Amino acid sequence: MKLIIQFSLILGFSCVCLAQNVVRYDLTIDETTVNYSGKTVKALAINGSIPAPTLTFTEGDIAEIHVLNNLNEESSLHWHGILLPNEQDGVPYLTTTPIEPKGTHVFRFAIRQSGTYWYHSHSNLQEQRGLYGAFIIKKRDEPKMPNYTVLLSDWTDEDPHEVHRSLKSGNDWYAIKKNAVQSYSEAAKAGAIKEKFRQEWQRMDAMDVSDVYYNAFLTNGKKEDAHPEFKAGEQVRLRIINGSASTYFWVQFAGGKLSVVASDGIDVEPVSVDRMIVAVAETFDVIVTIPENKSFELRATPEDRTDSTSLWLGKGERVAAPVLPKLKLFEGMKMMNNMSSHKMKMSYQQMDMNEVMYPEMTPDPSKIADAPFEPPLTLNYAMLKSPTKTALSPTAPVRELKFKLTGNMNRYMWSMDDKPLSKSDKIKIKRGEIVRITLYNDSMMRHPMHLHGHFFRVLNGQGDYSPLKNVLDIMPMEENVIEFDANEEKDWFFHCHILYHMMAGMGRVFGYEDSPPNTQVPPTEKNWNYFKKEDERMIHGMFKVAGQSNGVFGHGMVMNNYYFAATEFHFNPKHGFESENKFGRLFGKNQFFSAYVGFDFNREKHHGDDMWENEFKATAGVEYILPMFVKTDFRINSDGKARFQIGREDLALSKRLRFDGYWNTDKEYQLGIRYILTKRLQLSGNYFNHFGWGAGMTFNY
Amino acid sequence: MKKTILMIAVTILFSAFAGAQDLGKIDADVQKQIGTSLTTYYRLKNSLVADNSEIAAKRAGELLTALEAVDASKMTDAQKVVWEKLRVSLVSDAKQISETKELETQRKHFIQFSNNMYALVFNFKANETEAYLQYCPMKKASWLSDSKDIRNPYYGDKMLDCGSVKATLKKNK
Repeated sequence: MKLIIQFSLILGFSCVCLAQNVVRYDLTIDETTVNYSGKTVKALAINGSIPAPTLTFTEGDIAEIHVLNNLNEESSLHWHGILLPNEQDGVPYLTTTPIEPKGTHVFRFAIRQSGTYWYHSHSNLQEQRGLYGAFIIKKRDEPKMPNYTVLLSDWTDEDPHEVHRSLKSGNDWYAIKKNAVQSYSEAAKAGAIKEKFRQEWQRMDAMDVSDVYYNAFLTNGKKEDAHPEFKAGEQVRLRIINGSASTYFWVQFAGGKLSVVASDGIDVEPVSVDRMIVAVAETFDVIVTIPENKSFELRATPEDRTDSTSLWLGKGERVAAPVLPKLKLFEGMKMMNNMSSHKMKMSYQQMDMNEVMYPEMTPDPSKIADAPFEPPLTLNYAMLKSPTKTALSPTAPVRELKFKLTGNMNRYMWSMDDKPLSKSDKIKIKRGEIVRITLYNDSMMRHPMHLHGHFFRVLNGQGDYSPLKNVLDIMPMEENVIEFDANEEKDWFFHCHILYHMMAGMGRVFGYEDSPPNTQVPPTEKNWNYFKKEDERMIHGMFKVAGQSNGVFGHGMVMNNYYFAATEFHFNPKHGFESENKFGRLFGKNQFFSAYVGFDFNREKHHGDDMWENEFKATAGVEYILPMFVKTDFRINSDGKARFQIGREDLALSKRLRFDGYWNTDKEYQLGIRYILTKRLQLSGNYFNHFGWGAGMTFNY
Repeated sequence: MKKTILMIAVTILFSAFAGAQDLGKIDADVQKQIGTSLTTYYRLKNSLVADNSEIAAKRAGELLTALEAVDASKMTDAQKVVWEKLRVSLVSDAKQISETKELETQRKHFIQFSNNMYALVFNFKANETEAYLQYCPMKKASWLSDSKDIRNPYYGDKMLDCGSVKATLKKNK
């Protein structure tokens, strides 16, 4: 009896072996240079190309991918959306050995699915620099329709670490470049001065729908891509992948409707729309029909509408897709100010509160068209329906989990339940159970949440036919429910796919109980701590020095999520040098409160004396941010002398004009304005009661 | 000579800014007649806010009369083209609203009616007080109001304050 079983096992196994075709790719990660904006800058590429080469497989193949890392830093590759053994998932320090500088790594896994996927580096910010590519798996009986992969991405000439530092230090240069500063004069012009006050009173920074200024948006690595081969009447399956680090794209087609047939690689019942938003890391398969022998635009517009990228399909006269008009940011401000008072239940993108900022939702009264006005029909998650039943076992135990997506915009901290990954533990789950997750977005930005190694059902009202996805976009104030079959083992990452949010710690790890240990990254305390504490290791610094006719004024700070070391000084040859130095910790969800110890160092002439005197004094104090971002500081020095100070920094008077000022009980006060010339340089002028009037330049890092 | 060139330049500049759709000076009577239609429109809107289909039907009837009273003979040719295009749809939707007691049917026709009313008031600069174009993201539809406050005509009591101001038509004069 036993023998027969063994025999049939061997037979079965060898059959599988015969049917499986090993498809090998050799990938080399290396540095390169690119020029998207007239400036040649460093980038990362695979086999010399951005995006990385498209990897194509057929369902049932064995993928064998040999990677050589030619960089001087560690790297990794993650196969996004692919069902595979944990060790092949490519998350360094969690599932897979990092690929050492000049080191190699071989991935080998069976392809158990079909559809449109992608791959990217999962090491620090490398994805932003070019390490992403398409991963296409054909069905065994793939329909004979022409296919075209549309890999969208965002490009910045800056080093992504500098981008991250700028976001963390609250530099508003990106808002200036995006024309999205919401200053008092701009508010006055838009009739929203009251709203601007209300927003600052609530201690909320001006908001945009995205944070980073990009130099270019790309389709398959080009600002404009073209595929002229298609003829009138031809249907094309577009495999749209959003490989951006932080950009959501609106997709529109000049030749008519978009017929959505798959989402995140999995088929859905075809649904026809005028436009769709593709979240970071999502993929959609869309069928379009070329209506005439002309060239029709597939336009992808970033959500902030600063620019766009296009693919032209067909040959001949160009037919452009509609241009999305600029956002009405002050309408968004009004909406956000009022949002807390609304108790509406929102879910699955059905009600887009951002629509208040979209001019195209209402008719243009100066254009009287023959057809009645219809706002564009936009895809939302409630429209997605699986063609086959996806219901999970009704008898399996259900583990209910709830997460709040949280953020602190002022400090650019992103978390779940107000805790970054570094402060969390693995979330234990058991094989065989259903994990049902309720996500509530309590932050002011949307988040594309991605689960590794599994597909989840989006409980969008389609019942047994709920669609399967691996990325879920969740808008501010939405509550969405997803569930997945816990049919794996070991540890899997669940995180926001906006790169800078993930790096700030917006993620969790699901860990299967009673798993065999991962063979590449043993589940030790040391590995786990190294993996999860990446957000804590992020330390950033900033400084500002003004060289003016009345003296030199400086301010510098080094901080991580909770601690800061800061110095403030001013100097002038007649009056000498004064500095305040602090080391402190921030407290509370909003971090309005902080406490510090420090010292003053002064070098001054005293009592009409001609001698320079050095003076050290220890200090201890607390700071609190009041409404209108008014900073209060109360401290005592080692002589027992108390001081209270009140001030405001970076008040936006106009797009480029900023006001700063403070006053304290030592009878010191200062009022200044700065005009922002570039990211680093500002014209500045101030009045300081000890030094008098002065003007000059400020260098801002 | 210099003056003429300057005049031409100014005219070109002005017409470029005004856009092709600017209808020039509107006859005061026409403005008043369309203004009356707008006032009746606000009443129709208020009856939909109040879920009252009978009053809505009655107001739509009054609107038909008000639209009929607009004197096209006092319009320029360009104005007539725009008016005629809008009038046909406006009358058709108002009729449908006046002939039913079904709130949902009335609301369906009110969407296009509102869009056309907006275009009419905008092009003929016919609002004597500020008019606000408001938009409901649930219904994906707009309406006009004489007040900034949101009183949503598409859901009645259920969603009274759902919506936002999308545009403001400054009052004429």
